[in-house]
Amino acid sequence: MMNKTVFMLLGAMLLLVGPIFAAEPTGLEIMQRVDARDDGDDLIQKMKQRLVDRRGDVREREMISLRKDYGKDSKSITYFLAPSNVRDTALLTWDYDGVEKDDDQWLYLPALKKVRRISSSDRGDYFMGTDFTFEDIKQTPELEDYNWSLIGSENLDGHDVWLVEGEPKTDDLKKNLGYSKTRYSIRKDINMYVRVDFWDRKGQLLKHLVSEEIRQIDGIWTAMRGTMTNVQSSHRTELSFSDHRYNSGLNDRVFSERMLKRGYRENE
Amino acid sequence: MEWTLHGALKNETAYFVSGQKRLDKVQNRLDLKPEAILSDRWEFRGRAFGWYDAAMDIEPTNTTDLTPAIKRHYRTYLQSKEAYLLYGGDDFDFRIGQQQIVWGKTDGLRMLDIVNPLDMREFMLDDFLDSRIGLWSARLNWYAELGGAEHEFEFIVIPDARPVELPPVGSRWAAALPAAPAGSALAVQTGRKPGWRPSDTEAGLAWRSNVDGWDVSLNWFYGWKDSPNMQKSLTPGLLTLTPVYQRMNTVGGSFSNAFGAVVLRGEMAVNVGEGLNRTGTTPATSVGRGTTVNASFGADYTKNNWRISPQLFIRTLPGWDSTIAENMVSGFASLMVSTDYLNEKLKPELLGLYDWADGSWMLRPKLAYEFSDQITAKLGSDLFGGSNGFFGQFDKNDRVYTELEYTF
Repeated sequence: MMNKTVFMLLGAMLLLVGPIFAAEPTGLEIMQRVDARDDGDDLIQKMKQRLVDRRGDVREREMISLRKDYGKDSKSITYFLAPSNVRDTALLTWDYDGVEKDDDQWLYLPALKKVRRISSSDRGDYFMGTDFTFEDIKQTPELEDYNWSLIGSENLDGHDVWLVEGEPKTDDLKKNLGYSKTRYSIRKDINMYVRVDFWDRKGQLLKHLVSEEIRQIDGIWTAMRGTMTNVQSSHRTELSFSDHRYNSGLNDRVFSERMLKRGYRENE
Repeated sequence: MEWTLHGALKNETAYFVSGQKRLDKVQNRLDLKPEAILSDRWEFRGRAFGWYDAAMDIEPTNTTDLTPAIKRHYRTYLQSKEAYLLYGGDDFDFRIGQQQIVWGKTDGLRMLDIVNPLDMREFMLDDFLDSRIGLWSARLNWYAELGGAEHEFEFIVIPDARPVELPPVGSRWAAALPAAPAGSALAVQTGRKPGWRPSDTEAGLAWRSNVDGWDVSLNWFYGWKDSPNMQKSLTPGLLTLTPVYQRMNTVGGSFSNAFGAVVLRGEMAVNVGEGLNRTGTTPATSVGRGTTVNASFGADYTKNNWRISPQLFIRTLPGWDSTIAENMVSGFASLMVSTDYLNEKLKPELLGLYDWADGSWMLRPKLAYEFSDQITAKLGSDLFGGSNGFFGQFDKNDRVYTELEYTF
């Protein structure tokens, strides 16, 4: 009887103190949660870019992007709608999970009326004059490329966030990605990063991405704005998103050379 | 129905810095691209552009390269480049109207890109998009999933067969004509050009797919050789040249794939019954036909924001004999190097082409700067080397140019 009572008391105590002693997830586990976060099976969204240089000169672009998941792989197509000098330029990406296979990418250049196969291996290359590299424009980085470590927690704009640092595993990866380190601030309640800091290959702080106006659309947490600021060049890229349509059942044929060449018109 | 209109206003000014130094052009261009969404399925897409070249009024008239006829040819230009209806079906796209149809994977030189002829008023210096002559045609692109892969089948019919537009004889960009024997005059007659006749209709087929990561195509085109061969007739004191346009079949294909930082691409075009110039001086011995094999291989290497694209072009004549007025094997090598700075505001580019058969070359350095979303300026030059040959014939046409463009 005595033993039974002791065990029950111990059990009750463990239930009470359990949350206090629950092991914190590792950096990798947190990033896996970010990667596994529900972001819809497919998405159509409009995007406005403002490219602002150190003198305050602004270039603006409008795009529409469509994405569809195929298991852990995904396909996306982005059309430039404005300004006129880049209108109808379009990028098609077949994004393969993991690092074994390079992504496939095609670019349609209306000035040539040709679809060009482009290399996706230089992931540190900047995308169309923005402060985002081809790697940055992915939803989450390739987790296998980095050693992830949880370095702490803090409160950011009223939300508890994990601070997770990722260091590319090899020097070649550092060169390829253009970063020696990244630090993600991830909201604990929704497994979504709200700020990312990037250090260049020499270890100097290079740029930071801040996501804002995070709200639920069709039940999916979505950042409506994001700003990538390069602290070295004082150039920044402001993104604003609108007209989200999640899970609309996009046809596989959207992600093809045919649609790349045809361009996007509002009747589609 | 919803109409949109985009376009550009552009000034292109070029100055010859070799040979007789003078203005080449002061073109003020208007480029209009009207479009309409007619219904859920139907769209209209068009493009027309024209210009006034002030250099033709600034430079004095002469009796050599700026005759009144040459000035008329270059002073104004107004052409529709595209005007077609597009029907987007579930499994097919159908386009009917005036179109530019682009085949092939090479840059700078045309091998499979043979559907539309070019306006050669500035040799091959103009962007192909501007120099291609739009042809009235019907095109069906049908898409089918076969064996787990997407396949595209393209069918083209062109009743509006047209040849290349050559610069007027005597102008700075006119190709060199065969030399007349000493003491003989040279006369150039008008040949019979292909045109809007049922018997002149052109047709083409293409298949495209992605096979094991390779983008591949097979192509067939039954058309006309765009550039004429020169039939000669030598009588005492006079060599008469008559342009002859001939039918030919082209079969070929193209490929491209990415391997790390390198994209490999290439194409082949076998022209069956291609018109060839011969060395004779009679109508029967100065023009012939034969099979030519044309192939190109290229690579695009991208690293640290630099793009380096070498290409090799080879042309062989399997049935060559010494009466054919070109080498059995000839070709070109090209190299393009480009990068960008200031978040793609500043874009330097260098393109070089070398004709190894005659040792002539062309070099095209260019610097573009984007002042704003609407305004772009370019500064560049086109330099030619060699005493004759494809590029060398324009050795005295080195030029520097500026471009200022406002897009809307």
